Amino acid sequence: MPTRKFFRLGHLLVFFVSLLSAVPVRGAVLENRLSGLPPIVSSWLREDGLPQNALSAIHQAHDGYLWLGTYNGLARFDGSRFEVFGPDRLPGLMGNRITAVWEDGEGVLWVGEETGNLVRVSGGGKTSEAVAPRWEPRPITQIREDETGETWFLDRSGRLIRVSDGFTHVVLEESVTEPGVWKIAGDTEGSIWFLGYSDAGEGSLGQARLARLRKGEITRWEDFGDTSIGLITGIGESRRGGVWIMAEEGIRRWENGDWVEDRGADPFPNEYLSAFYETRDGTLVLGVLNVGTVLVAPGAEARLISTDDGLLSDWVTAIAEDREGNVWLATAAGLNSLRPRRAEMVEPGDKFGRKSVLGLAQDPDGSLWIGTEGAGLYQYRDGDFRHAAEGEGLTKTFVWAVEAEREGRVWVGTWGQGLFVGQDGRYRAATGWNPAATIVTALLRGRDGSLWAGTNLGLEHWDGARWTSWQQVGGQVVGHVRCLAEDRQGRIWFGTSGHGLGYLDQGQGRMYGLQDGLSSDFIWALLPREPGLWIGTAGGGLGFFSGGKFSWLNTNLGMPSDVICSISVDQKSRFWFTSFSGVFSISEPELQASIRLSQPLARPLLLDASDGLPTSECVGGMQAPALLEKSGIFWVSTTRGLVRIDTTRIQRQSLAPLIRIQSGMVGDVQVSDEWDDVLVVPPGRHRVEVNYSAIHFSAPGKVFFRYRLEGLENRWVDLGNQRSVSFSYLPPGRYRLHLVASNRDGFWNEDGASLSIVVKPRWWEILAVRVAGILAVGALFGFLVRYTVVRRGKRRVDELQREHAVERERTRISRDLHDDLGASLTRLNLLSQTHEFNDERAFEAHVNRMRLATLDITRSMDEVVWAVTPRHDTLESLVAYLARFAQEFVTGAGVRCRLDLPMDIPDYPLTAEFRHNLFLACKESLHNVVRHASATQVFLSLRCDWGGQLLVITLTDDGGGFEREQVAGGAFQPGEMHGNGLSNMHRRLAALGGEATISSVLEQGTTVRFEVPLCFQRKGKKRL
Amino acid sequence: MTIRVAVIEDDTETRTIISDWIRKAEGFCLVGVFSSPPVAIEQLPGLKPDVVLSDINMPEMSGTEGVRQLKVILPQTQFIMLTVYGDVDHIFDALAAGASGYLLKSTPRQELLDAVRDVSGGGSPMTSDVARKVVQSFRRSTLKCSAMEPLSDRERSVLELLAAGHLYKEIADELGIAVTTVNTYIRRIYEKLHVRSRAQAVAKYFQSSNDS
Repeated sequence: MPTRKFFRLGHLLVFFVSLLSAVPVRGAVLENRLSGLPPIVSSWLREDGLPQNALSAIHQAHDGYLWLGTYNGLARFDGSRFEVFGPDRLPGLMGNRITAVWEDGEGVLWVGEETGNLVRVSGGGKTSEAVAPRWEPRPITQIREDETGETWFLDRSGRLIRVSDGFTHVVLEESVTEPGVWKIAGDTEGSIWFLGYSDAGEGSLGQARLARLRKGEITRWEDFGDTSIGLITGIGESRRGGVWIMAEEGIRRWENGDWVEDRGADPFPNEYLSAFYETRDGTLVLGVLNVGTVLVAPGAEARLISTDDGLLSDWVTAIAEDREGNVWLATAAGLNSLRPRRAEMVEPGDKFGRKSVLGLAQDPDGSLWIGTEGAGLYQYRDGDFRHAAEGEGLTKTFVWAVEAEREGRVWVGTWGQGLFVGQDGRYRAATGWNPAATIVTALLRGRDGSLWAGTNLGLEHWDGARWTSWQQVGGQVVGHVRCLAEDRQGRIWFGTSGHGLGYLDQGQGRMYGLQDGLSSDFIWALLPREPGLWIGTAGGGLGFFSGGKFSWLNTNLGMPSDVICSISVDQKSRFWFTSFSGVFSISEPELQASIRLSQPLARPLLLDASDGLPTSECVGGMQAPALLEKSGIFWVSTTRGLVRIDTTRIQRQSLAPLIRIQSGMVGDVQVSDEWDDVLVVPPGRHRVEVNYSAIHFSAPGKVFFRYRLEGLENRWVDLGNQRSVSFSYLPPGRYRLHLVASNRDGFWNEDGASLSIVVKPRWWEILAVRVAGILAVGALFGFLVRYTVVRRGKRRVDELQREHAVERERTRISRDLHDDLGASLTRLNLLSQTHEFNDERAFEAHVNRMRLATLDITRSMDEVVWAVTPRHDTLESLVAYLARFAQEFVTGAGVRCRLDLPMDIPDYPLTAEFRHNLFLACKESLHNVVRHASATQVFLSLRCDWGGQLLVITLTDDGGGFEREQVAGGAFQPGEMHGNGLSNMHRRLAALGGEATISSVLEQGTTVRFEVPLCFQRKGKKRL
Repeated sequence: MTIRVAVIEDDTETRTIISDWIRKAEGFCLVGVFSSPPVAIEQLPGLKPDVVLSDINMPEMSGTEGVRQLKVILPQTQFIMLTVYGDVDHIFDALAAGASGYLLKSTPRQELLDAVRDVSGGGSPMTSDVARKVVQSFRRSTLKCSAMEPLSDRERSVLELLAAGHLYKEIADELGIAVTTVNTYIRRIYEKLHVRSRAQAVAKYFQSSNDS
């Protein structure tokens, strides 16, 4: 019986010291531990950009990128995009079949090929060269570095070869039939551990052979002394020193001649270990063939992740961890990631399926009552579900509201059969209930012990003896009540579907609608909290009612959603919201400050699908679609099931994304790549575009960017999630572009990345400088000083104007998106929630309304996309778009459209603002024709006069015309125009330095003429 | 006679709906449904469709590229592009690649079926903005290539009237020809455009290989 010398005193000390030194690292990654909830398993396949699904190697380089080896090329991954590096980009590569990838201490990436070719890649892919082979080429499977900085690799025949001179160790003389059971592992001291098996004949494996290479010397495992641990099945690298050894007697770490850590028995001792990895928090990640991936955390049970959990294959070939704490598995069938989960789904596992949870309540004993859409009522306590079946008297399975009380009494509001009351597992219809109130959406226990119910007809009140109905309050119809709340003064507040907000106070009350300042009259959530009332609406954002005044926060001010499904507050005064865009949290002081001053919010902590929610859409329009326990457990009902979130464990991720500038474009030509620090723009007028990406693996979709162009302006400009920024026409000069990014929790990388941009002047621009010099010599000094002073002032004015133009444009776009798209989408959403129709015709008419709403959305999108796409910043594009719009719009109204547009249009660049204003002016004019003129034909003509300096657009119709406003010369003054459209046209043209004239003869039609100077436009552009 | 139709569209929902319309409509026969052009290129030749409806924007290979390759294999087949927005540049590229018309995805069912029937019966739809683009393309080209035939006077008049907003019927009246003749002219213009774009592609290829 071998004796085991665990934790000899000296080594015990070493162990504790190493633990202590590891503490800060462990603290930093604690929030990302995989050992808590089951991790989120995500997949990447060929269709996501992988060169091939069969992966052979993975490694995270020091610059943050993940490098992947496949049999169809080498790929670099930044969390959202794969870039393939073949022999064209990496000279020295022989082919596509990559079998090993590894980075040494100096940042050199070593790439091994199946052909035995080894390539040295420096500068993150900038330069590369093949190493002249001094060995017999065989597939390279693993690469490591020894203590002297020499690189070694293992080939598939089991030889360990030194790269510099081809020196070869053949550790085991016996022949080996099974390839791939050879493994090497480096340790922190630069030793290389080597595991192989001798051949026992007849295809079975014999004795395991473990050896260590240190300072050029091989030591066999047998020679370390009394090390018995049974048959060794695998080895793995440790971050803390020594080597992990998996054997019959368990998983242990060997360091400095002794066992220093024990992780218990190998959970699958009879299966082949294909990959081994230790994460920074000490979790061992094992790839076990035929089983899956096993996580062995210190002091926790081993957790198996199999193909049932989303693992692409149980053949894991290599494992890596990114700096954010996510684990990456290269498998034979694609790439998997394991990300820490912030939210977990809770389901009873019976017919409940993924039906929506509509009502939640907690009784005084701590049981959770769960009302579902079609699966009845559940009671949940300490992980166990109990179903209140129909047999117990609850005849309706659509439970929309629940209220639980002391002594086991439960009020159950249903859809279709009104209110039930339950006691000790028996349910019956509530006595005296108004039979017309079939839908019960909200239930609230008043502080006086009475019960309030919100129904399809209004409010019902039970005082313990009888029911009272309220279908009107303050003379107004209440409608369908969706939520109820009682404030400190004992007033009962209620939110309705389409009838706004109201309250009842001792039988008296009033209602508030849009005219009183509500942003929406669909009220879904209420939370009284001193000094007022918080209001969640469906489409109008979050409101606060205090001192008789409403204030609002919406997506324009940084709210993640305008549809608020519930509002809760935790013990630390943090607000938790559920919405159509996920669950988010904002501190009370920040909310108060933002809503009072209409200040934009900082990015809130937002949980969505990337955190483990089954969908970001939460259930709304009910009394309690979410419930926050005092303990911090937040129950959230999403449209795909019930979710449990431990709010006390959620911390902001404080590791910001790294930014990499990838290319610079001038027009459509790439002029700089990721390794250039300067982008040189040739003389002339060019559009400059810079493409970049963030290296962020936790939630790449939630990375946000900002830029600042030093030399032009000093403001940071938000870029959202887009990964490119473009500038139309920078004036000659030197600039520096700074880019920063924030992670999913709004934590910014303040260092970011930067790129110099040099715009070369044109020859005459340089000449002008020379002429100016000669003039100066010509004693016109005084004049020049004066000139300079004036010019400097003008430059400032220009810059301010330009800033305002950008501001205006952005405001306009957001307004368009909000007004047009927002309104149509809301309409569509509401339309899609109607379920009952009188007959088929009503149904068809309804579907048609939905179709028209989607058409509206498509049209608005088309217009917004056209207006913001820089590619369309030309006169030609304006003309083409105008022609198509005019024809579609006018013909659709039964009016003929004739066009007279020049075929050859001068190549004028136009600003987005210019073309959009002109387009809108034409659109308004066409509107007037269709609406008021009763015309049969409209004629749209466009000319460039004065040698292309003046753009003239005329719109002539043959309609009724008008007389009253005609003034001398046929021109109108803006103040005299009738209709908002006409004065709008004047305003738009005036903004472009042009004018609109309208002439009309009664019964003979109207002509609208727009004149805009193009030179004004060009001059204005110079400063851009 | 039934019209044999195939659909290429990557979005499952859209694909199912449009295929359903065609399958259930009288006078149509749905011969194939594909989620990407490469699959279609492999299987379509055996199916001999009269009309192919193809999305423009697809991840693996654009519909334009798909048509360019398919038109060579299936010269008798008519291709109609489906698009969300009527971006004239994309549409023009697709037409130059060999398509003979385009439809917005928001087109109602009956209109879509009518359009397919029209194209299969020799119709050649063209909108005024596309006509404009075609005229410009023929004017601006600086390529010298024997394969390129210029537009005839009649073809040019038809295009110019189209660009000025006239309907097919009105063009027929103006030029004193039948509507079917207008269609024939347009189809011929499409063919020339198609040949030109191939010639341009070849020229570009030679140019770039000389550069390098």
